[in-house]
Amino acid sequence: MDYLIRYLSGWHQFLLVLTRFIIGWHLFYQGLGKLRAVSWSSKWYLENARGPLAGFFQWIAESPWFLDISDTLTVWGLLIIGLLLMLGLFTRTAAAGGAALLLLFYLAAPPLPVQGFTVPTAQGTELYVDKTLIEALALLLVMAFPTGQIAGLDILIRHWRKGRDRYFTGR
Amino acid sequence: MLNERQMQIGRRNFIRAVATVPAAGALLWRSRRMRPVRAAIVGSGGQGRVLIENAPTTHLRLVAVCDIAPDNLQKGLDTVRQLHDPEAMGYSDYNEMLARRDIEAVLVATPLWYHEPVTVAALQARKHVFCEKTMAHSVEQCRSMGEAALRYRRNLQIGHQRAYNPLYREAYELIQNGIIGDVYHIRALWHRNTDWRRSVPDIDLDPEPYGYPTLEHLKNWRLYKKYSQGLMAELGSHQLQIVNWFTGSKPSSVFASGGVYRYQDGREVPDHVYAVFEYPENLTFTYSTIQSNKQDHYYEQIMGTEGTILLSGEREAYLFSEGNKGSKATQISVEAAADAPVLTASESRLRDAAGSAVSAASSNYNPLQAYKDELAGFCNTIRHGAPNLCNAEEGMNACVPILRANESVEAGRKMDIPPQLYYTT
Repeated sequence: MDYLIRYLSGWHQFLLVLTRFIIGWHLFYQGLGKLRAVSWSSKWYLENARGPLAGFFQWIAESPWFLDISDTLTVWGLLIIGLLLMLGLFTRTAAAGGAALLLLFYLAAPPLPVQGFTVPTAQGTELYVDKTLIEALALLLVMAFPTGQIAGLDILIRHWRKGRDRYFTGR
Repeated sequence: MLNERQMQIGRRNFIRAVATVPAAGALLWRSRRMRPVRAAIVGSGGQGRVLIENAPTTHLRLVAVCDIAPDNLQKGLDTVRQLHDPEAMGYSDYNEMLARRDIEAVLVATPLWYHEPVTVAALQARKHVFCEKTMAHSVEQCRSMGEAALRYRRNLQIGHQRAYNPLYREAYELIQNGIIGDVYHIRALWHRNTDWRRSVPDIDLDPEPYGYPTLEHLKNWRLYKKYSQGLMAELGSHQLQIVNWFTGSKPSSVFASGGVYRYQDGREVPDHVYAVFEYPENLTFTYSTIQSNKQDHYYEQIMGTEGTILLSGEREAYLFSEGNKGSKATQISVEAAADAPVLTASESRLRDAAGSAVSAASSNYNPLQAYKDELAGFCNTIRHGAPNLCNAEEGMNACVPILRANESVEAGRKMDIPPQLYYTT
């Protein structure tokens, strides 16, 4: 077991795993929804990108080839990362990937003031920080702890690496 | 060999490793029941496309279309690909389509005489079936459909969309609560001033193997007795279903007359039909459907001892008091009609005529919404076991008296409708 875990109470461990799990489900189901949607594409989202990187995102939207990659990566990225986070498998890699994906979502539409004023949206009135950014930060927090070693298939991976004997004896 | 303590630690580790699997599994399992029902449609003609266009894609996802006519197939497929699934497939053989295991449900919008073969084949293939009204072309066909649904334990819904229309549900509640007193008479009609004919396109299809001698017979199937039960089935069954529902009963006899009065163009089904349905509870339902005048369009009027409920055009509901009881005004809907001068005219005409109207309300309810609601209901039954508001029994109760009415027109005499003709399990 990772040395860090020794310093965490059961309550800390539970909250970390819970955070990882619910973010995992959130990402996974978003992916599933896009997969099942009648004809989902990131095109609209990218075309309507705001903020300093708007030009970059719009450039992706204009290229059918990059748009295709963007669609596939978004849907399958969300599905796979979500599943890995829920199961606690390759947890830290998945958390890093998820945070990167979420940061991209955030950067495509950061809640910046329009003509010097904040604009209320469906999420409420936000400035600079929105829920996507918070979710990304929460994932980075999850990544900072070996939550896959608290509860997750990473435990099996670690024991695999240490050899079957060690797994059965738990040493 | 492992000692007790070593095994304990191994097991504890394993439990921690798979701890989140059940939770993830449970969420996934739960979400399966919230995904849209994957469905196919057989018959993408006029009515088929109404279903395609109005099916709520959150509930129902069309992934395949079947039609023997290439023009209908193409139009249906185009719309399905646009609204439901860009990769939807087209078929001309419904059996080939039914062999697909990923399809959970089938919408049937074929000519009437073919409801039964397609519905039974679909149920046999373990698909849920939404079959357009009227249920079938004969009592035997109705029975065969009902039995197939029971045998293969699949949901069979008949497309009488008023059963899912909130105006009708509201009216039903009002009647149940005795707002209009005791009901001995219900009157309904559906009047049109059209010839019901469709132009015959020049398409590459030999209709003979499908049972139609010419393309004219295929496109104008509603005019020929082999395929159609005429106006009573296409229009009357909707309104009879309402009367059955509101009275909780079904007719015990019918007398009907009519004939081909206006359009002597080779059609076989009458263009004027007048029918009197007798219900066992001292209640008579009179009905007419004609094709020479559209002044009254279509409505159902439930006449009680204390008041009258008028349901017009599937979008307006009126409540009239008989005048001697006073304060029983109840608004059926609070929204004012926003469109169509026809509505305004009919409103004032009705008010003037009645004089004693205590409440007249029309709604912005779009009759097309009822298609959305009935298809959503169909999927709710499949996924969550919600009650089927127009099942095989309801469908058959609305179909059998129609068939008998047409027999009565031909025979020129009153026909009994014995209980054994109705749905029996």
